[in-house]
Amino acid sequence: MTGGIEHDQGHVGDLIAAYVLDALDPEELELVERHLEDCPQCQAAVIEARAAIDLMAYLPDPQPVPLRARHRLLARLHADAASTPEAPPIRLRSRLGWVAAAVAAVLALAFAWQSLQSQAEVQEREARVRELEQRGQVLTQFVNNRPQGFVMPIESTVAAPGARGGIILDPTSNAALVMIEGLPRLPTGQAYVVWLVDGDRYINAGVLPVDDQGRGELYLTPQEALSTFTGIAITVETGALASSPNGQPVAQATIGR
Amino acid sequence: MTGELQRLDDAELVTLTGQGEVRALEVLYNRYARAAFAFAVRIVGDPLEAEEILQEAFLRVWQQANRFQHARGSFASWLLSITHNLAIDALRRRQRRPQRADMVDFFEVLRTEIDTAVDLEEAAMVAELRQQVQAAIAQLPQRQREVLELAYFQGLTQREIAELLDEPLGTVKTRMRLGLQKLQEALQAQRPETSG
Repeated sequence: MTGGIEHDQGHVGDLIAAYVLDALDPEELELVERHLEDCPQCQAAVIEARAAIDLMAYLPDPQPVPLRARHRLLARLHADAASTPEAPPIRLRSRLGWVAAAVAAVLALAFAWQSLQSQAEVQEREARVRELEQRGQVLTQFVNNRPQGFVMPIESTVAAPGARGGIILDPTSNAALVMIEGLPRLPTGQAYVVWLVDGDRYINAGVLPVDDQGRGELYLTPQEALSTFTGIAITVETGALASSPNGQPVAQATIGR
Repeated sequence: MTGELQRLDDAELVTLTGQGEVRALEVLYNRYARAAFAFAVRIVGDPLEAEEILQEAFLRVWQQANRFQHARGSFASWLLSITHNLAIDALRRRQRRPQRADMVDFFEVLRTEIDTAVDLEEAAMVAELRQQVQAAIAQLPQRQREVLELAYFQGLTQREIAELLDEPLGTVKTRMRLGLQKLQEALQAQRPETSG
């Protein structure tokens, strides 16, 4: 298939080139992604187009690589290996402890957000406080309904060193709430996607909506049991409907108990 | 051990990398660092920044090796896709300002010692593929090639390309669509061989 799908037949064939090149305006991008959800014909055209575009990576003439790049890479590998211990879970068997941990997590986020806003105008601060209260209500409701829950910290990667947060899990009701802050603003056409991870298997759990302050929350109720997954990952993707992660990871958490 | 590793294909090396075998990653580096570095330089224009991107790309390979799925594409395609994302992100962080010569530390570049531990056989494979792709894209009309390259190597949207070229948006859209169509036709028999 080489561009034979026509837009006026209800397909998006004339937008596929710009789609795979990440060159669409947001409105067109949304149109294409909506259409791709239910159109195997256009999905196949996207795969073929992407295969051709990816080959453009081979176009540049070779360049000698500085030796220091290898040395620095090896140094970073050793540093990375030394700095990524397993994140200890906050395991709380009692309901009181679970609520305390969740509230502590939110208070930590709230404190950070408010301190970030300390120089802002009073009106904006008030709006932020109201927003935090609403988020607190969401969390309180979530916590109160899930006495068996527990909290796992989210670890950021080098791509988003300022990101931090937690995932609040309740395997008994198979629900989880991802809360994170400090995410960098993304260029148009890209989105943060949350993945449920089971070894090499990645399940797209949805787009993480992130506000202009870099804060995001996502409520998860996966079809499969949460206990079948070992962790979550958050990546930057150009397609919200990606079936597997291709973009850079920004954060991850272990969710196995 | 390194000699044994050199005989392994990419997929096997990625598996070993996922198990924490640094030397397996080094063999992959020997095979593909030149291609990834050249690609990054082409996008960001600054060899020093491209070095950072190269390191970051291989660090991602190290961290994400367990999620690489050979059935979905070659290691080279995966690595270059990571490199592309990193380089375009770097460009966008610069808010698409054109590269200025005084931003490059020429003294640092001149002091550079070249890495000679590249895999010449693999480099030859990449070189052959490069020739095929260059020949394919050379078949495109210049204006169609131009819009594809501005989008791919500069991360520009169709609207930004139209403004840059002072052309109607519809014209740019048509050129991009036809350009891709012709590129696909030209490349039909030139897909990269996976080494694994």
